[in-house]
Amino acid sequence: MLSDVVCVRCPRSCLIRVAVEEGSVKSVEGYGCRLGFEYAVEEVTNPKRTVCSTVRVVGGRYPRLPVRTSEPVPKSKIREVVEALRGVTVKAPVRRGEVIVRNVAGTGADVVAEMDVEPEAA
Amino acid sequence: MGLEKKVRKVLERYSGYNLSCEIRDGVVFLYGRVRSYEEWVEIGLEVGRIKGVEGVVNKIVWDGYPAEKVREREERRRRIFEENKGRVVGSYDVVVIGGGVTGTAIARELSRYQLRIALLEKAPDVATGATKANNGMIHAGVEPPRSTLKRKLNVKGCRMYERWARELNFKYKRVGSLWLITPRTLEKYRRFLPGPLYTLVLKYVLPYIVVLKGIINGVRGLRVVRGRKIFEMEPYAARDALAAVYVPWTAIVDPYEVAVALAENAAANGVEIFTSTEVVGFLKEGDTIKGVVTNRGVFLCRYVVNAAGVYADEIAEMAGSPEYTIHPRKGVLVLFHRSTGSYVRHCLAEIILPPPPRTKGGGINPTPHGNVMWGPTAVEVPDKEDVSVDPEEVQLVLAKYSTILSEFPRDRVIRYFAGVRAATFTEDFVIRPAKWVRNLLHVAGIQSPGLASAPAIAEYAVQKLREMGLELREKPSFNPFREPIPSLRDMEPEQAEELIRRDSRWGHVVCECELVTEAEIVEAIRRGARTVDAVKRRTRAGMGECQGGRCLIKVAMILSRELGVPLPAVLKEEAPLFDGYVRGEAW
Amino acid sequence: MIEVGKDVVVVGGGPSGLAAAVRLAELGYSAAVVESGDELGGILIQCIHDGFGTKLFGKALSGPEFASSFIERLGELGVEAWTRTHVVRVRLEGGSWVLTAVSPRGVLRFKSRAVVYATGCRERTPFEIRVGGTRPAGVYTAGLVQRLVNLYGVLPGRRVLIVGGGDVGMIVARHLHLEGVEELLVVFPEPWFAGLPRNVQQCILDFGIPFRPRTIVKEIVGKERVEGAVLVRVDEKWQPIKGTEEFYPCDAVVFSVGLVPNASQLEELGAEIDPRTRGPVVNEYFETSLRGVFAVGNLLTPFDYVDDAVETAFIAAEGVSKHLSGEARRDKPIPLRPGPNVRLLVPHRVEWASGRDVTLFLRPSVERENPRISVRSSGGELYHTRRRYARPSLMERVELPRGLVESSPEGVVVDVE
Repeated sequence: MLSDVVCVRCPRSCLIRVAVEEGSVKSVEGYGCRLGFEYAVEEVTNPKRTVCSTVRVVGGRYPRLPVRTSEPVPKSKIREVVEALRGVTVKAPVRRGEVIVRNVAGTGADVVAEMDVEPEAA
Repeated sequence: MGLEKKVRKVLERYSGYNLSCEIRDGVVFLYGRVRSYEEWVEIGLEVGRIKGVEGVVNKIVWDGYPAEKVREREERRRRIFEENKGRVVGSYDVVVIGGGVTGTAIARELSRYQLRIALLEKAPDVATGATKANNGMIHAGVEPPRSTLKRKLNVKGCRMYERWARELNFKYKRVGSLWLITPRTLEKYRRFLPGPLYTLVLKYVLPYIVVLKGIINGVRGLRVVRGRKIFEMEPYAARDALAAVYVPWTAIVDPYEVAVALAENAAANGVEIFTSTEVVGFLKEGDTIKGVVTNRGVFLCRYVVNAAGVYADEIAEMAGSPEYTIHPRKGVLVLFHRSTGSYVRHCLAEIILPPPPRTKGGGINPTPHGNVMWGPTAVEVPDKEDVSVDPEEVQLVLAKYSTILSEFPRDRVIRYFAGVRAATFTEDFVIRPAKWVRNLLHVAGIQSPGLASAPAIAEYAVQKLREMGLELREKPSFNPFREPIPSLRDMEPEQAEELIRRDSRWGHVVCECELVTEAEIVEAIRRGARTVDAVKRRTRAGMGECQGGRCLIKVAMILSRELGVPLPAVLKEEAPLFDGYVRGEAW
Repeated sequence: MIEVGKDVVVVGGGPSGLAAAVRLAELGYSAAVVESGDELGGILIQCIHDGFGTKLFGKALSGPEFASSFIERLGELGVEAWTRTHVVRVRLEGGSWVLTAVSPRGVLRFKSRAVVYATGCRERTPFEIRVGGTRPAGVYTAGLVQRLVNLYGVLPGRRVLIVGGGDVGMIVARHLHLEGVEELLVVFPEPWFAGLPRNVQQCILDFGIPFRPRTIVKEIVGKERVEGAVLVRVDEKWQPIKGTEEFYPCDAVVFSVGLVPNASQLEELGAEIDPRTRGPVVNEYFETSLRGVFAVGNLLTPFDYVDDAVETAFIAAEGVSKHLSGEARRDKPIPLRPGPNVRLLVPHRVEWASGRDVTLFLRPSVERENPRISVRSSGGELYHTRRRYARPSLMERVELPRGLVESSPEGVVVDVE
C-alpha cells in the first residue's frame, strides 16, 4: 500500500511516499532529511498526537485548567481521550505536571496539568 | 378641491400604474402597486412636497414588498396584545414611547412637573436606534429651509445645548464648522461661468449667499474666510480651498451619552423607565387612549407621546391616527483612531451644488473623545432595521470626503456602522396632536438635525401637551443636574489615588485602549446598564482600536457577576454573547 | 503614591517581557515587571496546545508550560512583578524614565534609567479587512475565542465560521472541534493555508474540518445574533469574483486575520514607527528611537515562534546593559533596508560602536525555492546565506557579522533572491 505524507518537520513540507506491505515498510521516497524519514514512517505505521484540552477546576482564577497528555497518544484515540475528560473536576491548588487522569483511555499516557492553579480568594 | 387635484397630477405621471389616493384632513393616503422601491419613495416624496399636504401615508406596495413579514409582525403583536391586555402595570399621566434622544428629552422636560411619567423602550437600553448611530453634530441651523419646523427647532435647540451640557454633564465641545468652497463646488455649473468668472463667483459671491442663508434662517455670526486664514484655522484643509464659511455655533457631543444623561436625570426626577418593553397596541374608548399595551402589561395613561423613531408610523397606526409613513434612510459612518484627532479641528464639509444624492449632508467631524468621523451617506432602504454596511459604501465615504483634507491617515479606520433616519415624506418634524386620537402627541420624522433640535423639541412637545389639556404644575424638588461617571482617562494621578483608596476597583484597568476601570463599569451597571453595549456606551470600554478584542470577556465577566447571570447568557445588545459550555460543563 | 526605583522597568509580563527581566536580573541589574493583566505569561496562558520552545528548549511545551519556566526563574531571581498594573503615563525626568501606573494597590511611580517595552500585539479586527454587513452578537477575533474556550470553557456558538488560514485560525478550529462545536468551516483568500504544515495536518486534516481556499467573507448577516455570512470567491489578487456570492448559515464568525504591534503608547511617547511593521523603529539591540527605551517580542512585529520573540528580549537585555554602562554609540547609525522581495525587516539600523553580531528578522514578500538571503552595500554583495524555502508566512532569521555592516556606513540592503 502506498501512502503520501506531507512532512511537518520543517517548513519545506516534503511530499514523502511510503510503501507498506504486510505491515512492514518497504520503501520511503521523497524525504529531505533523517527527521523526515522517521516522521513519515511513524505517520504511516503508528501516527501519534499530543492531546491538549481542559478540565473543570474549582477555586482558581479561571473555571478551566489546561491539561495535556504526558506523551503522544495514537491518533485514533484522540476522541476517546477528550471524552474521558468529560465530568472531570479538580480543586485548586493544582501543580504543573500533576496527574489528572492516569492511563487515559488505556493509552498508557497520563493527562497532566499544564500549569499551577493557586486558590483565589472568592 | 385643489389639494386632491395636485396629488392626482403627480400620480398621473406614473401612468403605467393604477394608483389612487384619498385625502383626510390634509393627510394623503396613497394606494396601488409599483415596480420598485425607488418609485415608492419617489412618489411619496413628490406628494409630500405639495403645499398643503400635512402627511403622506404611503400604502402603495412594490414588487418584492415583504407582505409575509408584515403579516407575521402583526400576528406577533396581536398575540402579545391578547396575552397582556388584562394585566395593569401602573397608571400614568404621560406615557412616552421611545427611548432615543427625543423620548428621553421629553421625559426629562416633563419631569419638571408634578406628573407620573413612564418611558417605554423596546430595547434593553436607551439610545439604541438612530441616537447611537449618528455623527454627534449639533448643527447651527443654516441648512433646513426657512419655513420648516426643523429649522425653527434646530436654531433654538443648538443654542440650548450649552446649558444642557452644564446641567447634565455630558461631553460637549463647541468646535464650530468650516464649509469649504473649492473648484469642485459648482463643477456642474462651470460651463455657465467662463474662465476667471468661475473662481470669482466661488471666492466672492457664493460665501456671502451662504452667510445670507444663515441670516434668513436666524443664524447670525457666520464669517467668510479666505486665503491663508483657512489653513490657520484648519491646517490640513484642502489645499485648493478658495474660500470657506465659518459657523461658530456648531458643536459635537456623544449622542448616546446625551440620551443616557437625559434618561438618568429623568429617572432621578421620578420618571419610570421601562426597557425591553415593546408597545403592541392600545386600549381605547372612542377616540381616547386609555392604556398602552406592552409585553409587560398595560400602562394606563392620560396622554401618550409617540417618539418611536423609525417605528413612529406603526405606533400611530396602532393608535388609530396614521398620518405619515416613515421611509428609512440609512447613513454609513466611518470612525477613525484617536491618533487622527490632530488632523481635524472643526466640523468640515465641502459645499457641492447640487448636493450629490448619496453623500449630501455628510462631512468630517471630530468627536468629543478625539476620534474623527467621516460621513454619513444617505441611502433609502426598505427595511427599518437594516443597519448593514456595504463595504463599497465605506470606500465611497473614504473617496468622497478625502477631497476635504489634504493629508489624513485614511488607513486608521477602527470601525464603520450605519444608522437609519426616521424620515417622513414631508421631510419635516411632525410634532402635533394626532388628528384622530384625542390624547396622542406625535413627535415623528425626527431626522437630522434631530439631535441638535432635541432640547427645543422637548420644550415644544411639552407646550403642545399643555395645549392638549395637560396641567403642568412645577415640582419644587426638580433637580436639573446629573453627575457623570468619573473616568480614569480624564484624571490626574492624585485624583485616581484618592479614588483607589476608597475603592480598589478604580485601579483595575479593564479596557486598555480607552483606559476604563472596573469601577466605572460597575457604576454603569449600577446606573442601569444591562448589556455589554450599554456598558460600552456609558464607559467607552471596547471603543478603542482593538474593538473589544482584549476586554470583551472581562466586561462580560463583570456583568455576569454584578447581574448574577452566567457568562454565556450575558447580552451584547439584544442577544446573548456566547452559546453554552465546553462539554456542557457549566460552572 | 508607591515609589519604585529600579535599573530597568519592563512593561509587559508576556514571554518576551519575562525573558528580558530574567536576563537582566542574571546580568545583575534590578528590574521590575509591570503587567496590565491578572497574571504573568501573556498570551501563552491561553495557548494550551503544544509546540512552544522547540528552538529554545528542544522540546514541545504547551504555552502555559513555556511561560511557567520563565515565571519560576523570575521568582528564583527575586524580580518584582506587578500584575494588574497599568502604565498610564511616561515622562523623562532628569535623565530617568518615570512611569506612572495605576493598580488596585494605588498609584505607582516607577523610576528607572531604562525601559523595556514588551506589550505584544493585538488582533486585527474585521473592520480592518473591510468586512461588511452588521456586527451582532457572535463576531469575535480568534484570540478572544481561544481565551473564552480554554480558560472559561465557554463556546462562541454552535456553527462557527473561521476566517483566516494562519496558525491561530487552525489551532482555534481544532479546539472548537474537540470541545463541542457542531459545525465548522475555515475560509481564507490564499490558495492554501498560510500557517505551518504541521498545523494543517494536525489541526485540520486530522479531523476532516472543512475549508475553502480563495474565499473571503463579504458580509456578516444578522440583526441581534449572527445568522450567517456571505462568502465570495476571490481571484489570485484577492479580488472578489462577481456572481460567486453564497450565503453560509452560522451563528458565530471568528476572525483570525493577522496581528498588529501594540505600539500606541510608544507612538504617543514620540518613538519612531515603521509603517511596514507598525511597530517601533529599533537598532541592533532593539532600542527604539528614544534613548534607553527598548522594544522586544511581538511589539516589534509578530513572530512565528515564541523562541524568536524571546531571543529579541535576550539581545535587548544586553543592549540595556550597554546603555546603563554608557557604552559608545556611532556618530551616524547605519541603516538596514529591506530589498524589493522583503516585506519587513527588523532591526532597522546599527547604532552602537561595537558589540555582538547583528540578528536580523525578515519576512519575505515572495515565495521562492532554494533562495539566497543577501546583504548588499553600494559596493556589491557583502554576505549571503541559503535557505531551502522562503515564503511570506515564514519569518527568516539571519546572523549578520557586525564587521560587514560596519564596513558599509552608508547602509546595507537585505533581500531574498
